Amino acid sequence: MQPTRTSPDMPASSPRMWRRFYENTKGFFDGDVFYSFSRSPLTILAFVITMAMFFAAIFAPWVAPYDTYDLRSLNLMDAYKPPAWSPGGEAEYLLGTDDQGRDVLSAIIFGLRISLLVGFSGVILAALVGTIMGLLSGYFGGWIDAVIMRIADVQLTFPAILIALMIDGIASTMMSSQARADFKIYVIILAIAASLWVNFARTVRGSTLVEKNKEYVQAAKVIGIHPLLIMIRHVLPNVMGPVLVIATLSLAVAILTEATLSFLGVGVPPTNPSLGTLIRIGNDFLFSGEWWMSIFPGVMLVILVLAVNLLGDWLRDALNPKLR
Amino acid sequence: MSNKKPVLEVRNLRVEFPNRRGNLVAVDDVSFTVNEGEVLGVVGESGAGKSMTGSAVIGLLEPPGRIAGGEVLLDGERIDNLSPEAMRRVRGKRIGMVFQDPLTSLNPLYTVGRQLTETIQTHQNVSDSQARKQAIDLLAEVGIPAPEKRIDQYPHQFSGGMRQRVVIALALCVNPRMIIADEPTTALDVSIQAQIIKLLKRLCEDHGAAVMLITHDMGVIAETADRVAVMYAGRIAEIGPVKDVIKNAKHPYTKGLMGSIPVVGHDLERLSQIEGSMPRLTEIPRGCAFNPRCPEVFDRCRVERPDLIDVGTSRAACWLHDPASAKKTEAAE
Amino acid sequence: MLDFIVQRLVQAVFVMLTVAMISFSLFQFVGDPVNNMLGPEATAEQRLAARETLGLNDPIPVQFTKWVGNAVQGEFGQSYRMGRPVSDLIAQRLPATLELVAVSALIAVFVGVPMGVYTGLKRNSFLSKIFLTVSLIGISLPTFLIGILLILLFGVTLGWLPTFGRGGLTNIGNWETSLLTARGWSHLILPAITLALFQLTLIMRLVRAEMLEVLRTDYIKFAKARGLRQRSINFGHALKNTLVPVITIMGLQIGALLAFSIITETVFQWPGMGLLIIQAINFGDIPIMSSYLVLVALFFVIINLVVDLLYYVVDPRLRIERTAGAH
Repeated sequence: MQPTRTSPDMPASSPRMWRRFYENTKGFFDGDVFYSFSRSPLTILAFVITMAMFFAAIFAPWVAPYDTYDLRSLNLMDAYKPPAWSPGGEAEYLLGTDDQGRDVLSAIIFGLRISLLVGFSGVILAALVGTIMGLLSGYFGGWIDAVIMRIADVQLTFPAILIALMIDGIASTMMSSQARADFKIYVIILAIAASLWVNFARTVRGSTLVEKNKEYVQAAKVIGIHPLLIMIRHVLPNVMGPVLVIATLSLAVAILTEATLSFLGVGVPPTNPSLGTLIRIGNDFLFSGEWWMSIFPGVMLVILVLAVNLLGDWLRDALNPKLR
Repeated sequence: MSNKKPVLEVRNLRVEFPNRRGNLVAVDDVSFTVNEGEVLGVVGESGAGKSMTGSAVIGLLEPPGRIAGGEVLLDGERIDNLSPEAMRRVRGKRIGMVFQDPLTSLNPLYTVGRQLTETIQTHQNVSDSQARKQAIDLLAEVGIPAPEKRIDQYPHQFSGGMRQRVVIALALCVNPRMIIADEPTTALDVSIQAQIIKLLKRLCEDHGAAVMLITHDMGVIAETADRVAVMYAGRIAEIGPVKDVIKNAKHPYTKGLMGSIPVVGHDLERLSQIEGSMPRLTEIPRGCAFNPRCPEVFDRCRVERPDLIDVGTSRAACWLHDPASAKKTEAAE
Repeated sequence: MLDFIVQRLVQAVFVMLTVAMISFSLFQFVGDPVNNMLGPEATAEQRLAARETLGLNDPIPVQFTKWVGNAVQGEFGQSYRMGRPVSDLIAQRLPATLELVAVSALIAVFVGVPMGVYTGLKRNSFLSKIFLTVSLIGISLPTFLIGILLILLFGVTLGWLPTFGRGGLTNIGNWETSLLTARGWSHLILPAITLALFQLTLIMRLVRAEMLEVLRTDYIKFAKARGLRQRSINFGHALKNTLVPVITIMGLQIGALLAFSIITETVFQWPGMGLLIIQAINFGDIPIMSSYLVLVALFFVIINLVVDLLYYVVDPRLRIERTAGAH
């Protein structure tokens, strides 16, 4: 449909702009991906939960009832309070308090922030490195391909946890404990990225191999455009789907890895606790009856990871209709 | 036309794919018969419904595809409403099928011998050694040298052409009455195509099997088939003896198809092509599905859908051959 | 066949040498061994003497060769913290970890594969949907949380099973095993399930995906067109073809089991290699760390060799060279 010229006295933007907006977005809302989304209540729920958690994390200082970083607000008199609904609980502390008198709900919201920050950073780094490696490997082939893929093989045998543990162990002999604590968050991000880049690299490499022999790449050579440039322009859009799926599922793995490392005590330090750190701290009190300190962060962690996994699973099936 | 018994009869077959926007009709009101010892060619562009028809006959439509109407009869017995288990017994034993790509049709993890004997022993109560002997004979029959040695080899040790021979042996191993060959040579080297087609035809004659040969290649049909059905957008456009259809096509679409075959000795310029492309199944126009591309279109084609009309030895779904509309066009002129 | 094995062995040796190099540099350059042995009060002369006796003044390649020579004989030096030979410490801890990992791997494979096959074949059945939902929760639960919850349920609330350490041990030579007594098993079962659960769900989902993939292939369609029995198609043709990718992943996952055993051992205070390495890391006990690295690499290399050999058994395309001249 050809948009008709608007008369001069009409507000210049509105109809044409909206129509263009509609034309551009119609494809998406009309498309199969959105359709399968709108038909899956579980996926919508997962999406809502994920989004709610993202926003809670980003706006933590405004969302959380207390600022757990503000040491002045802590009062040891308030320590060990159970959740509001159990006997001895107070309405002020909905999910109770920990051994320092910190509000558990606030600690969880701030913890979510750290967990998501580490998870996202790790996945983005992995996706970047993996995509570049995959492109290079697939495009150049030969020994470059062989070397990259061999590194990937070896990499696969060393899970993120081992890598992080080893780096932390080395750091412990070389740095002061303060420097080590500051350094930890980067170690974790690096370890997560190091264990996750392989999936991205393999997918992008496969797609690159397919595209490499297509005629437009050969044609690009003939007209003097560097074929690698062409590849990037054409391969990247093609692998966006799979990369997005891997990234989503990787985010779940990354969040779990961070929690696990923090639980082992090699993760982010207690001064800046993530969900995993909270569970570890709470675990010491689990058997003496103060279950809320570890169970609530644990539940939050599981819900977050479950929601992200659900989204990833759905995305994979929606983008690959053959599997349905 | 002949006094031979029909082996396969398809009557008003309709195949639907229910999807969220409604029902997609992939095969619409298709009827044909294949007689004993006869090769029926089925041609058409991809998406015309020829493979769907084949899959429907052998009962292997991929869900959600389903037979929504019509009947399929094998030797006069209905097979489209059989239970899955009864239909399984029909497959392989009474109807065999050959697929397009020999490289992917064979299970890579089993020897060809195992795949042959498994098929033989599924349908016939014979001993292992007997089944093996039959398998070796079959391999020899399809022209595989040193079958005693080759029988214990794996598919990857055969070339593409050799693999398609094995596939044919597998389809024929319990002497089915009917073979459905779905693009059996498309994936092969041009140099091998002719051999395979010749082999398929000879073997089916020897084993007394009727053939439904699905292809988009008019050349293959011209060489092999006795009769041909031309499909367009899920329906048969024209059906008749090969010679008549090629020499004297009745449907404008068939004429276009014939015009696009290169003939040795003619100028290349004279190769014609049909304007436009086949409509998607979701957008089949009102009236005759071919009307937007038809060079001889007139009013009625845009409104009414033609059924097959007898024209000489062939039948064509075209209003040009309806006596009533013929008069009308004359009157208009 | 021989070519293939030799090639794989060469690769294995190459990987081991690389890891040995990393391990050696850890050992030699990261922690100062002299400082660690003599303490900060030692005089300069004592240090020099120690350097001489330890061979630290030799050229690096000589040191490396010596180090590898020692490592091959199982000699990794002394633990800084415990003052005992690392080899003794490892020998003492190894059985606990190997038993834990082996039992977990068996649980993961023998429960995960059948569940995967079932959900792949009966895609729309009610039970499949339950399996899939449970599996999704399974991969969303971190191992340490599973451990904590199991302890809470079976140890604290129900009081059925012990929640930490090993017990009911029997000695077979130098090998302390928990597999021979009921009490040994009662200690083993919770950690083993904890460790297995994540891998189990992973294997199940993988087998299901592979099964769906294979069921769509042309050779399965052709098998159907030949009227083969459904049973034979599902288990003879389809399952066997899913094995190759499944074996690959399982090989890798057994490696992951070793890493995750660190977590399980921490939660259950299971006295294996995992606890040893966690303590070593916290104290910067480099000899233990570097030897652990070598050991883990060795473990992976062995697993990978076994996986390669299994490929050989399953896939004839590797077993037989392509016939020359055929197409």
